[in-house]
Amino acid sequence: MSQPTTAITSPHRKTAEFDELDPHGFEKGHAHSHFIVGTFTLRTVLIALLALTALTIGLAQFEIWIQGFLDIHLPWWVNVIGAMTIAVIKSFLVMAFFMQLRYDNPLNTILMLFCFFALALFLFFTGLDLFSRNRIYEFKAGPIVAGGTGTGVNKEGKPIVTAARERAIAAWGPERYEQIRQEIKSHGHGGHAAGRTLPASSTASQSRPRLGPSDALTAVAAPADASHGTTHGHEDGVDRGQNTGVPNRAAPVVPDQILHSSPASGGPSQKGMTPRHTPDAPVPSQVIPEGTPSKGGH
Amino acid sequence: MTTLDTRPPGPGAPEKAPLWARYQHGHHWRTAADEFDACKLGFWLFLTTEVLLFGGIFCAYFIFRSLYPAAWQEGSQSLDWRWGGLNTVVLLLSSYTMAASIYAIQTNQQARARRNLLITLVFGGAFLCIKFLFEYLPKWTGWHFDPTLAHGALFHFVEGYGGKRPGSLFTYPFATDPHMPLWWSIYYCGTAIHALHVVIGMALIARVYVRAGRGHYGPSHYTMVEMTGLYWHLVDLIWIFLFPLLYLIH
Repeated sequence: MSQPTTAITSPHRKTAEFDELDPHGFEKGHAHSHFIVGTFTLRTVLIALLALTALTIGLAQFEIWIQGFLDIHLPWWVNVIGAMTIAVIKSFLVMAFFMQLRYDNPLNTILMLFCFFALALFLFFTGLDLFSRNRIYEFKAGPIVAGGTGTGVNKEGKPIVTAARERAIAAWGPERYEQIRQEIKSHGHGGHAAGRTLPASSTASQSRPRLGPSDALTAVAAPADASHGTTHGHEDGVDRGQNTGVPNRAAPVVPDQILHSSPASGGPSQKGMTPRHTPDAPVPSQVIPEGTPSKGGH
Repeated sequence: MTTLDTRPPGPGAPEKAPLWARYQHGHHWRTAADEFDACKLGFWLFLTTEVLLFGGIFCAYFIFRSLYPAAWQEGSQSLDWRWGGLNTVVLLLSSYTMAASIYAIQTNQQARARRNLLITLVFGGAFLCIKFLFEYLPKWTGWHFDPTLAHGALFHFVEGYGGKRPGSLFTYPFATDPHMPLWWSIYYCGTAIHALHVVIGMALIARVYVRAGRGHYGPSHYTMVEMTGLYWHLVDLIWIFLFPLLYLIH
């Protein structure tokens, strides 16, 4: 857009009463300088953020510690709610001071809050679906198998985890497999619980009532007797508390017609896939294939 | 009505004035402040879409954690909170230096602004190095990076450690939960998209750094610095949630 040269030279009318560039007086009253957040504020916020980071790490470590040494099991929500509350506080600090929403046009804040509202809607309706399926379908009212069934993800006709394990055992031999396993577990390669024998573990995942669709996905009906039911998770000698306190629930009746996608029970591909079995079928030996030396507790 | 442009001339400013002092806002804006505010509003709109992008990942995390809690527990135990915590500190510090560089631009301390931008860039690079060398590489391949040369070389292989990969790529032989590939899918999806944002943010900061050296930004015009800062803070914001969800909640 070419500007007439006269435009540059022509002075615009601007008096105390009337500014030709701002005929409606939008700019009057405030000089519209950008707010400058000082370094003291920024440094204070940074220190608060670092302190909150230390606090959230400390909280998680503290929970592991009192489980291991004092055998006190905090309910699952202490961990989750604690970490998430600190994360929300941190994010508000970042948005208010680093992103300057506190000093900014409130429209930007409203925009962001609306976005969080949308996110909350996603999570709310997802949760509504996940945790209330049993109210609609009887057969979904049973407990979810610890760890699920693994029938959804297959490789070489087996669950991926089983296929990976069997391939390693075939390549190394059972003794070497067990040796490497112990090395990895004991040499601090295992993450934040490395080098420690896990206590009966966090209740973070376990104490929540688990109602949902997994039962509809299982190959066979749930065990009538919970004592030999969900053996999953015990194979490494660590009781992760999967079964503790699980009452002997009546096996949910799974209609045959919803099992059409399930592999035939008892078939070779079934090995290691699911600890579940029909009450009249033999108990699946273990998740570990035969030939593996028995695991001592560690 | 007239479309006659009666703004005071930008190019008419003294010859020696820096670029930012001669900057003239778009002719369709009433004032430079209007231009700045509109840019900022648009950028916040974009940031909401970014939050919703990660919102999908958080939602998937929520669903699969609810369905397979044991897998999530095993998964978070195979991450080391020390690397995650270090990366959190690195990102928080970089957020501070980014905000400090905007403060310096606003108060026309050009050298200080560039210095802070450069530090931010270094922190971003450090984040990516920690992520790739100390987390992705060993988990994916089993090769460990050790700058202390404790094993005689920069890299050493730990047999049986690698293979913690997403989905059907999963080959880690010691997993107990059948849903571990799902956990690693969520882990890589969340952290890799976040790492992509770090890379984009670093590219933006590098551009701002170069242009700042040419005198493009000053107290009356620093729109690009502000928007880059907002983007960088969003990257920090996402990590503030990813870190406890992946590393701490067990």
